[in-house]
Amino acid sequence: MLTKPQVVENPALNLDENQRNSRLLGAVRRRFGEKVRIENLVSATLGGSNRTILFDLCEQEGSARRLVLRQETYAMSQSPFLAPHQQFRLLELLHSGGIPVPEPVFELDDADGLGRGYVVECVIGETLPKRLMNDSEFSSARSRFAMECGEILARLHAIDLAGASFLVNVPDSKDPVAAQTARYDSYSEAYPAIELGLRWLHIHRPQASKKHLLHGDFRNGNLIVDRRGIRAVLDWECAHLGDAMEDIGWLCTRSWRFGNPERPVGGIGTRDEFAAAYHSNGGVQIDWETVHWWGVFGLVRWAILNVMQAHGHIGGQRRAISFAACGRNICVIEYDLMMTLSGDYD
Amino acid sequence: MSRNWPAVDEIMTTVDEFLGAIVNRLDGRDRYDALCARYLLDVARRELSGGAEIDARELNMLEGFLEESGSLKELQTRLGQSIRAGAYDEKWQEVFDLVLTHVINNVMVSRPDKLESQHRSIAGSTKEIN
Repeated sequence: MLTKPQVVENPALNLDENQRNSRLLGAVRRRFGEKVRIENLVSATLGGSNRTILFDLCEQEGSARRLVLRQETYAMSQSPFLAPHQQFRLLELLHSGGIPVPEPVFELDDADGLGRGYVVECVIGETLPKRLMNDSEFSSARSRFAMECGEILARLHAIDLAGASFLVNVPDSKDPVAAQTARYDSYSEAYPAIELGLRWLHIHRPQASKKHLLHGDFRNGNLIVDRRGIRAVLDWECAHLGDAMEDIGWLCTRSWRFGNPERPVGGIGTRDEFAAAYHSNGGVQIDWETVHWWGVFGLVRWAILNVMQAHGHIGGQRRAISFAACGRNICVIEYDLMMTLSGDYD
Repeated sequence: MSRNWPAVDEIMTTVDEFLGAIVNRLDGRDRYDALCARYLLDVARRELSGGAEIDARELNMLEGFLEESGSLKELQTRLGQSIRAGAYDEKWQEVFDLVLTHVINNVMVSRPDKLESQHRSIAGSTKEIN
């Protein structure tokens, strides 16, 4: 039966800036003492699932700690995103396991009055793909980018799943194609190219493989990079358990090459660079045919995520001009999908 | 002075010029949103100039393929349902070509610069968002 997305009430999203800042101050004082202050608040871009606010936590004169509040904004049923408490728990697991992630600081609770979310340490660096791809400042980081991606994913995929058992029931952990189809159906929109992609995935589906902990959105744009290389991996809200090839397929999906298609690893590196580092750090054997299947899956999934953003805008739940633009971006992803299915794009 | 002056296209050009003038004074989310606004204005301009013709062409194409009539959305929905049910598994190339044409029609309006040369039948340029 079709399940329509239902709006989950989240009054914290409607707070004005002063109310929100006042509650944030209250939240940090409950945890760090009444003498702390917050300064230099900056609202970053509106992400796909979170509102990001950077601030300094000043514990005493001259001592400031830069932190990041991640406030959940996508509060709908059929959400493709992990609940914030799951994200926080995952960050704790990853941080203790040596994966480069922002250090988790505290999770919001009801008394904070800020809805669902958490606070992490701020990692300084650049995330904008075009700057990473073009600025001379990052030339050294670019030379190691694909290798560092391979190393990080190999370490992530080797994590013992016992600590991530709370992800077993995430829809994408059970059946990623069924999860995308259910979300797509919930929007009641007609996209024949998405249907064609889903049908191709169904017909050509590879055999089930051993499950690993996956980031689910590991790509250029979700990595904090400085001149030395990758400093942190962000945006774990799509993490789940699945085939390791899924993360590799998504990383190499054409949408994340940002106009530099001959460099499949984020528009920066090569598959060979990635594979050498992935294997030398203990990654499982890469099957490029299966990676291709996951690349097609990635395009279908990315198209459906754009349907979701446009749906949230049109329906009034999440009005934003960038989400309106997502609606007109769907056909561009569909074009990449069709050209990939025809073999014109790799 | 006519109440219909300036014309819609001139209004859109004026708003686009305004956005173009302020975008470099903005940063962060405001800059990104302004770039999105310029992109959407471009889309709207192309939709107004050629959208109706594309829709009519597409309706004709779908009616011929499905041998049914209905609104564009109804026919697209029926096509999608049939693809999902496997009705075209044996005629994959035929349905693939139809869907590709449909996608190209949409990209012509949204981002014609993204089309490969063999798929560009109308010239267009858009403002990149980055």
